[in-house]
Amino acid sequence: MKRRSYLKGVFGLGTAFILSPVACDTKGDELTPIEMERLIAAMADSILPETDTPGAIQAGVPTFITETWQHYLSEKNKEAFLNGLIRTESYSRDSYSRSFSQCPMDVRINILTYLESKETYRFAILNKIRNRFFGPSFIGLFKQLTVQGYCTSHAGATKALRYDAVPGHYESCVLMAENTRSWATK
Amino acid sequence: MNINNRADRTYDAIVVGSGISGGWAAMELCKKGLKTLLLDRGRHVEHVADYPTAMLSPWELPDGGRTTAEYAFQNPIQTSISDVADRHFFANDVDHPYIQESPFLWYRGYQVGGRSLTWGRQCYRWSDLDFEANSRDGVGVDWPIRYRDIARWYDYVERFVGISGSCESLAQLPDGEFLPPMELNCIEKHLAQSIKAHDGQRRLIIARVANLTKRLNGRGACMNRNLCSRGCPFGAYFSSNSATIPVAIETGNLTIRPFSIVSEVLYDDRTKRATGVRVIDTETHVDYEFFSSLVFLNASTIATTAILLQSTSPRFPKGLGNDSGQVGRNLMDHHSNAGAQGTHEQFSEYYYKGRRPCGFLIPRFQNLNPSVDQKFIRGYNIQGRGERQGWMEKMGTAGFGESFKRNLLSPGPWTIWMAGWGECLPYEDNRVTLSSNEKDQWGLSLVKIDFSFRENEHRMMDDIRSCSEAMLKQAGFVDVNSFNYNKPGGTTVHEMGTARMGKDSATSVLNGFNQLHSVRNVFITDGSCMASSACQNPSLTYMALTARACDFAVAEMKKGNL
Repeated sequence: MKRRSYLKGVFGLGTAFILSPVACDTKGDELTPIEMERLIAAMADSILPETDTPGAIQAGVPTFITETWQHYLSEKNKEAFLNGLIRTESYSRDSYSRSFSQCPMDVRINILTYLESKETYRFAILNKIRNRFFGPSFIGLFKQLTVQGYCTSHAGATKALRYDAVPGHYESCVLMAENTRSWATK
Repeated sequence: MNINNRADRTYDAIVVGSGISGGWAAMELCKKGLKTLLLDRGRHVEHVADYPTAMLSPWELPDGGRTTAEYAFQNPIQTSISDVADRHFFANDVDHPYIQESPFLWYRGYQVGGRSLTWGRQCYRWSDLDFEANSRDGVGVDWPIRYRDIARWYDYVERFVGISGSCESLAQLPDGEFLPPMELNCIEKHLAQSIKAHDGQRRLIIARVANLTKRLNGRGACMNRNLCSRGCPFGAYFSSNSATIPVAIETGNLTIRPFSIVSEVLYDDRTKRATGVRVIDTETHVDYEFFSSLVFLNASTIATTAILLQSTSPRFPKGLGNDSGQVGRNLMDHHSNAGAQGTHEQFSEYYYKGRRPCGFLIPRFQNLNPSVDQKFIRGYNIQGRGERQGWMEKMGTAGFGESFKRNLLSPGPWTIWMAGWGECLPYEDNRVTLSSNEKDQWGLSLVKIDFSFRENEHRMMDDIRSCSEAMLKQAGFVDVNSFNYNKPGGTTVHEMGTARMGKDSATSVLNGFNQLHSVRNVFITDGSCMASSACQNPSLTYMALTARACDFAVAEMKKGNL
């Protein structure tokens, strides 16, 4: 546990560190801060890839996620987040023999889909109870941060969604063209 | 100003608190020619200049719109109602503690303008169904006034406030002097038609709100940004800062003193009158006395109660004007815990443009003709809004990659969320008292609050749940879920009742003109004056009662009766 606290303390300062196999239930994987950054970026990019609209990376989401993790989460969730990152990377290395960020998109989506299904109960009430007592699940939290960071970013709000700073009027029922995107704010 | 000189500390009137009712009192008294001192415990907030977040886009917000878990943990009440965009208008928990003997969330706006900056802006008149309720049910004390006593004061304040709304000719919800109404959207119109078709007595109408649909008294029309609680740079919703205080200043009769906590009302037993107030400067902790021939207490229900309880003297050992022992009792807050939500599969080709700053109202429909076999007494109205699901609702959807993104960015099905705002009865033991040993940083006793909803409120919540669910199902909604959030008192931010009006000085604190029974030059026109809560959002009634009390007080002053 001591090593964990140390790791959390140095993350973001550019100091290389080695994850303890005991701490992360893996067989001696190494993950440097650079790799950690790549993992976060690759996960965010797999949730919201670049299409005809900007992806999570272009919208600056990885920085948003890292900042939130480091400065805004409770100690408990911070730790859970770190464990989740380690689990994701370990699963990728164990099952596909390579780092998550090195996997092609379809494999990354398979990994995330597998991890999401593992942490989701079939009954909504069980998920609620889990969230209440054990905090949000890792994939759920990561996805939430990705979406929040993206949809409140300049690129996400104005290029992927539609942002209307000063509408002036309220039009209560407007016939919608096909492929109309949602409003960025309500 | 040389405040060592008594003459320089003497005014015709002192108004304590600059929120929605205090702003009205200051404006009315200034307009009638009284040199008025308006006190607020918080900082000054200048209209527009002090709305730092009003024009910020989401990506421009401080901290990316985020709050640290640590700050939220230390300030659970403040952070449960605000975010970084409007937090500066809510008092924090750390600096402003109080004691919850039972759970009660006390949301405070400690600044000039008070909570008029962040209020919900819903404005509904009471009717005699409400003013006669206590008398009819034998609950609490009878109101000393009826609708005819307040109707013209509703007219008077509505003309100045500017309320958009539709006339509906409903006896239980009198029409007013409205600006053009906001508009219901597709799903709301659909629900309105369905409700009317299933029960000819029920209506779903657009909310009546203090948001201007056209220019009024120098304030601009609503731009449909729905960012009201940050302060409106267009002055399009009513607040003390945008409306009453500027008019009071124009008269040349107003002095505003921020950073001033009133620790007591000064009382002279020889004249049987209040002589002024004692104030603690929050910054220097030095105290000052200010004098006046008229005092209006508008500090908000619980704070006004605390001032009365702190103002002890040989004549009033239990607190100023508290011969009846009712000061601090009968605390009420509307419950808004129960309701239902559902989604609708039709109308998918329609959307809306703009962000309407209000929802809809289903006016009270239960117990309009009270009978003996009712499940509960009094009633509720239902407030809600219809919208299409957006990214906030869709972020929990399973999946990843392009298909997840496509779904996230496109409008989801129409949904309606609605909940009942219900009347809370006055109970003597729902109570505000002062701690005997714990003090705040200014040496004032901490407020203690003991409050709970009782059987009548719980039965009403059950009825709200089942009626809401039924109305949505009848209108073809799917995935209909009814709920009871079980929130504690205080969460509707309609606390009231702790210095009630009444006909009899043995059982009430104020008379029919909001005047202390036992100290004629002290008036209280914030929520503490309320003898019952009805189910309407209360600010409009506070404003009307305030204007009426000011008119009475100045007339009495001129007659030499104060």
